[in-house]
Amino acid sequence: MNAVSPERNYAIDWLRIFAMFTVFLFHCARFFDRDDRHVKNPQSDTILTFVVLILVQWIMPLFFILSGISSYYSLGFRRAGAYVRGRFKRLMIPLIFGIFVLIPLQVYFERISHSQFKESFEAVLPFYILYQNHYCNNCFLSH
Amino acid sequence: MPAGIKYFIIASTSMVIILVLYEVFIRKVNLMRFLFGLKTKTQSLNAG
Repeated sequence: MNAVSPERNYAIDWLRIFAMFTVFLFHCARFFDRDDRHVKNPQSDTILTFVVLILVQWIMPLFFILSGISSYYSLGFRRAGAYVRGRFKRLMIPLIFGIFVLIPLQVYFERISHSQFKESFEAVLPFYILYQNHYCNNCFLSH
Repeated sequence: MPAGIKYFIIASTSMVIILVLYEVFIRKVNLMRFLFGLKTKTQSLNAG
């Protein structure tokens, strides 16, 4: 990107790709585990429950390690202000967008599949935003 | 249908759908790049 940035460590990019792919497989397996949350297959599966329990131990810690490594490299050639602005633009914007646009869909399908809510998606939206604790425990932030 | 087969179908079809949606709706549209946290492309620099 610029002359002072250090040579890119592609091993970390590959670890990031591995982590993203694993978290994708993890969430596909969530249909079949014994936890009550999310949209569920009528029957749970022992092997996939085991897979979920193994992956959940280290997948988020891996993302935190990757985030720390990235910050270490980034702060090596960026000033703190530029770093914070950059992170805000590329993390807070997608977070806010996700909370208001992507997650309501997920919550809607979860509630419908658990027969906890029978109305249309437009009807679930204001409840999701204003009274989220009434319709689902902290689904606003926990997804 | 066994859960393993369902799992395989869900994972493979989801991956294809995700890649197509990303390619068509996110990667090429600057507003979507911004909303999904990608670096936005400037008009003058056509790099990236």
